[in-house]
Amino acid sequence: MLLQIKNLHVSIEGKEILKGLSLNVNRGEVHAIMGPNGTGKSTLASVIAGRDIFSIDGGEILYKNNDISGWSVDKRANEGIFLSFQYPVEIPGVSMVNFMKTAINEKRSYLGQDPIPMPEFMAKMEEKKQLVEMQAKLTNRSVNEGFSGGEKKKNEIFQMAMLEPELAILDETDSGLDIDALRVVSNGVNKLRSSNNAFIIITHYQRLLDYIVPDFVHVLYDGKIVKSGTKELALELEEKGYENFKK
Amino acid sequence: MNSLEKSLINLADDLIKAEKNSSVKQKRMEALDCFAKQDFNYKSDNWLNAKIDVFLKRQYQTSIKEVSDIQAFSCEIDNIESNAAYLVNGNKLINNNKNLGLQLSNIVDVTETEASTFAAAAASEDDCLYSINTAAFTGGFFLNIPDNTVVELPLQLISVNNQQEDSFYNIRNLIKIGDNSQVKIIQCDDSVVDNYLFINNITEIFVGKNSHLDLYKMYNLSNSTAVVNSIFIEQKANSVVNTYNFELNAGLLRSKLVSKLIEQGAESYSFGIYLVDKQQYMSNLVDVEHLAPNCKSEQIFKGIVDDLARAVFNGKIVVHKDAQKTIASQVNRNILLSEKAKVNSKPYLEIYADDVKCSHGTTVGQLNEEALFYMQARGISVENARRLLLNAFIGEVIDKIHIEPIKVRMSDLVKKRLNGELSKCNNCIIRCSDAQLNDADDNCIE
Repeated sequence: MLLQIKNLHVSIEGKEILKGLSLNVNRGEVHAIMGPNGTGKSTLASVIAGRDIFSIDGGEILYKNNDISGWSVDKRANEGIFLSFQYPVEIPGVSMVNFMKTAINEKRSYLGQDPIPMPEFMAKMEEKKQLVEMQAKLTNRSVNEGFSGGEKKKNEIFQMAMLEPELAILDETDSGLDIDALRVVSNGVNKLRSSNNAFIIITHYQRLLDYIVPDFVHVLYDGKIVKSGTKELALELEEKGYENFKK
Repeated sequence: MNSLEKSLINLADDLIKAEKNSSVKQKRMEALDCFAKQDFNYKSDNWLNAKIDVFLKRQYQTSIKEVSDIQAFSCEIDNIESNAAYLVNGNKLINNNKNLGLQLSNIVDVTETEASTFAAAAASEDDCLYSINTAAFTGGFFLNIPDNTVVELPLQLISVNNQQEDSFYNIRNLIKIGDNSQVKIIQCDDSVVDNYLFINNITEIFVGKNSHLDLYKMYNLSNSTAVVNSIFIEQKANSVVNTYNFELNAGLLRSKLVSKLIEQGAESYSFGIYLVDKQQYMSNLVDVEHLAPNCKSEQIFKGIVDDLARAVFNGKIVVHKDAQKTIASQVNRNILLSEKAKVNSKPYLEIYADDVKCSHGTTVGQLNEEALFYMQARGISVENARRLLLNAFIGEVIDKIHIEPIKVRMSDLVKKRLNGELSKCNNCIIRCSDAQLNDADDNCIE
């Protein structure tokens, strides 16, 4: 099993957010997590990525059969966990090229490999840019600086393609996207799906799941997964709303 | 009166007796009177938070020593074509350049006419370090660039110390640029030994109509060096002056820049970075005086302060009554890397004209936590993420450099400084080239 979350309890500043969440993800699977605002979806994403502002009060997260509670954020990333941010951060003065090259080389160094040769790196950048139909010249641009909402999200998928994660968590990647951008982003994700990796897709709306068809859909409510099912569950949610799942 | 004051006064007396230039002699005497009345008082705003006593209570060699067997060292800038001149131990000028199309000599050798503007910009009563400099300077660069002269290659003016004793230097530079001329100057202070130094340096610069000056000032000195550098610039109509201050290392550093825009259309742009850590102190005092209409000025100063270090930025823009249509802006940004690091930033505007556009701003903060997390989430270690962010922060200023080899060199030095590679050895005067840096631990005195 790629990811196994057992009875996870998480709080921030004394406020309990996740209240006994369990989730199993195998390679080759796409899981959608849906739910209303403030139920802990983004917290779950951040906690898997290793954000230290949260306190883990109980339960465990096993990734590739390792308890990762002691792993730094960068170690998790280098072990293949990728978080696509709901609000990608602008980093003025750090160029996309420098940023991506540093990230790739840190991973290679972590895996005991030599740094990527520059021509290979530039070719890879070009190839992955096309995957998400990015028009922008990245060479001289700072990370996310001056990017439109759509460009920022494309840039997240672009980085995912560059880093080739085993577990990708997409935190509300569809929010703020127009239909064209949604299609591009979804196509990118679909092309990256393989039997070796897995996706957790966090979203409010069923709309994204028309493009990225999930194997499983989970309803997260009040810090717990209250219902799991297949893609039909998403349609049911769209129709009836979340009210029916509140217990 | 402490022993340093006594020995400085004795030195000034000797220099006044020996001075052949009557107008300079007069200036020296007036300045010495002024110094005698002043208190070695460092409680003023000019010395906020400075532990200058550490440096002033020491015994320094002040008398002029014969300079022999100079192995002058040039600040290493790869691939730069420049003409270099040296001032050794504050008094001996070495200038092997020929046909520069300008006059470059030792300030102590100037004629009566050439000295007409000497001490015209630096008022002795403002600070006892100014008065003692005027009274007791032992040498310095005198640069005279005629009208209609374009000096193609940058001029490197390097002041270097090779005396074994702890030394106190009063160095005085005078730069006169005629009308319609252009010059780029790189000023560095350096030392080839690791003892205590106090460098009191004044540069007066007069820029003629339509002339253009780029002035680069680099500080890469040991932690046992105190340097007080004061630059006074007077600009005539439509002249443009860019100054760049790169403060990489020094035990104590005070850089003062006074720009007077005395005629229409003059423009003054100043950029500075300061990287301060351990128990270092760096202070930047900027004073821009808009005295004529249609002038422009801009300052961008950025600093990173770590450990127990102290930094000060005191920026002052005065727009005088007649200086209508002035455009002036001033920005100071700081990043504090430790709980105990401290910066005092005081942007200050004084406006007496009514049709002007002025702005100023200051920030003091920490590294952006969101950006750090974002980078870590891409696999970048927290150390490397910090370095990327700090380099990006300083990069805005580095990007303003016009001379490519200096830009490359500065960017490289800043990276090394932020990686801790420049301060591997506490007492090391930082002059190592890349190759030397690799085995810096072996070469440096612990």
